[in-house]
Amino acid sequence: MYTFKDQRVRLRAYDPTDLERFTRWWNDPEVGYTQLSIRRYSTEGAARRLERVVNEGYFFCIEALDQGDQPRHIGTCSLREPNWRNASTEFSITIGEKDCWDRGYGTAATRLLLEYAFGELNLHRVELFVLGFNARAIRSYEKVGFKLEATLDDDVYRDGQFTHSYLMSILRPEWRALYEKVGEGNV
Amino acid sequence: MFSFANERVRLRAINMADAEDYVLWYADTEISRNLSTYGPTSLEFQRNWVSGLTHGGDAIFAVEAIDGPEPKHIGNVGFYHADQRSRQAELGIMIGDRACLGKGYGPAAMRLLLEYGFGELNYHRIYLQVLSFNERAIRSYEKVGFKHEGRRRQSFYREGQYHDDVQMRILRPEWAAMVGTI
Repeated sequence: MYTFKDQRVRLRAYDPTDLERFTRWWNDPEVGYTQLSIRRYSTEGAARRLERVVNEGYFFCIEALDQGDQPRHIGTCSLREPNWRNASTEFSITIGEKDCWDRGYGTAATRLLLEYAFGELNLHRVELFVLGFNARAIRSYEKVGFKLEATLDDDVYRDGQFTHSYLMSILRPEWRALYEKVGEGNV
Repeated sequence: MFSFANERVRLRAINMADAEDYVLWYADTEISRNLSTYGPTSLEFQRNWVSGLTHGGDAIFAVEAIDGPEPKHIGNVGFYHADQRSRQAELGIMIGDRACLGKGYGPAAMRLLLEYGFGELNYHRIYLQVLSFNERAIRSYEKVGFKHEGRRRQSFYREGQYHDDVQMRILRPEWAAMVGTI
C-alpha cells in the first residue's frame, strides 16, 4: 500500500500556514539561483503564486520525519498535470531549508513521488529539466535513476549569460528494474 | 526590410475562412498522424482554434504558396511558448495540403519564420520537437539548419506503441553564420 512516506520523509498537502516558509524560501537568492524564476515576493505575491501552483497537477509539501518529535516542512515537490494519452509528466522539486541540503531528503522525496507516479497514476514516463550548473540536483537525479536525454544549449539566462540545461527522464520499466516498491520500511 | 514573403511562400494572418482547410487536412491521416491531434475534427473545433489565435501571444501564420497562378493556402508555421527572458520560442509547422509535401515549401516557410524570429522578435534560441518516425520533417529541419539536441524517449503514444520525440534547435549565432548577417 502506498502511504506517501518512508522512514525519513513524508509528502503531504499544502496548508495555508505554510505560506510564511514559501515566502522565505522564494526570497532566498541561494534557493532561487537554481530555479527559473528570480524575483522578490511579498507575502501576497507568494500567496498568489501558491494559489496557482497548488492547484495545477500534483503538488506536495515535503516533511522530514527524523528531526525530533514533530515533522518538519523542508521543501516541496510536484508533478505537472500529466499528458494522459502519452502517460507522461514533468517532475520538479525544491528543498527550501538549506540546512537540509546534501542530506538525502530530496532524493528520498523524489523516490516517493516517482513511486506514486508509476504505481498509482499509471504513468509511463517522468521527465525533468535542470540547470547545467546545478551539480547537487543532477547527482541526486542520477542516483534515483534518471537518464540524460538532451543538452539544451543557451536554454536559460543567468548571471549575465546564456547557460545550458539538461532534459532527463525515467521510464516505468527502468523504475521497476531498480525498485520493487518504495514506501514505508522499503526503500 | 522583412516582407513576410520570398519567391515561393508568403506568411499571412490566419482567418476564420481558413478553418475549412484545416478540417480537410486533419481528416487526412497521412497528415495528422504526425500531429498531436490525430484524425477528424469538426468545423466548430477548427473555428475555435482560429478564434483562440487572436487572443494568445503566439505568432502563428498561414503559409501560402505563391509560385503558381494563384496564391494557395497550404499550411501554417509559427512560434509557441515564447519565453521572453530566455529569448526563445518553439517552432511549429504543418503543411496540410498533401500535394504540396516534399516540394520545399516547408523549408522556405521556416526560413522566413526564422528570419522573423531572430531579426524582428530578437529571439536567441528557436527549438522544436518532432516525432522520430517523421523522417521527412527531420530532414527538412536539418536542411534549414536545426541541430539535434537529444531524444525524449518514449514520450509519444501512437499506433499502439510509444515513440521518441527528437529535440532540435537553432541558436542565433548559428543562424547568423548561415545567412551572413541578421
